[in-house]
Amino acid sequence: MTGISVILNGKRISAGTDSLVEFLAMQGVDAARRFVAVAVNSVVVPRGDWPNLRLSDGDQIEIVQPMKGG
Amino acid sequence: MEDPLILGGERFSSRLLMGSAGFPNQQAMLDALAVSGAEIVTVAIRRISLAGQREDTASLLDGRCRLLPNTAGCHTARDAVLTAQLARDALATNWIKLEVIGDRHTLYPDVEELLAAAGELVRDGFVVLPYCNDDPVTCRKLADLGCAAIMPLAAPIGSGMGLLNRYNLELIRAQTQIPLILDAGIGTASDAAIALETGCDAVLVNSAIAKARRPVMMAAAMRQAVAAGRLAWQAGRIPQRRHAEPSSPESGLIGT
Repeated sequence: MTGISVILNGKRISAGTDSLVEFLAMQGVDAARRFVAVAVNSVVVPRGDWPNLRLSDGDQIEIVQPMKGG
Repeated sequence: MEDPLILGGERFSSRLLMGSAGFPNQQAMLDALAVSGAEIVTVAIRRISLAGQREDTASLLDGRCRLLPNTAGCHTARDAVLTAQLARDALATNWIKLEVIGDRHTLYPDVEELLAAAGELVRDGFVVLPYCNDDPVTCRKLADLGCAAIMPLAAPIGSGMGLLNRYNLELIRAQTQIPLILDAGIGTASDAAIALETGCDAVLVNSAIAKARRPVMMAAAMRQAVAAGRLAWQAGRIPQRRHAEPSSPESGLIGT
């Protein structure tokens, strides 16, 4: 389980966990952090579902936030 | 509230929307926002940087204005729709400035993909504000799909050329019942005034303010220009004539 690798923001890395919440925490994204959103395999995972999501090997994860823009 | 802008079911007193990019520093952006009177500010949605400095644009602006996320940089309907859905979760808003780009040099929209994305997002309950070209047919299609506004460009994004095709904008105004917001290519205050004088309900300005020599001063100029243009539109201008029409009376002249 913990041997899975995922593609985070376009880069393949070792996940270290199959828990999305744990994985996010390892990336410095606390579950209570505002203004951040997550998609797994091109599907948005609503914040309320973060605790329930289990990662699989090869999952593509996008973590995004608002930035300056026109 | 006098003469409010009604957009997405809400009332706004300002007809100037502002972008958040390109300011010399964060304080300049905040000062320009305060002086502009803008109540809606656009932000982009990008991958988080996992190393390096924490991005705090949303936290800074939160509470000072309504944040309007955009799908800038997206080239396909698929990417734009996913970006909009991510933005909705990140910012707890169903408002989206929809951009689907077809050409990297001009940043002109890919109309086919834009229409597809707009339809899907409207069905998904979004308040869709599409950045589009100044083609009356595209604008009509976007309105028919249920978008909350139409946002045709004045000129390419960041070009500062001002309104290039007033004739088209007049056509679009005449056929459009939903809010019309001129977005992209505005260069200085008079461009904003002209937009409002042509009947636009609002303008969206980023580079013209952020990259002006004195951004906060330009924000003030834009605020006044938008107000002046709106008043002039409501006041009803005189028609343009090709001949002179004397304003002083023609009788009672000495020497006659």
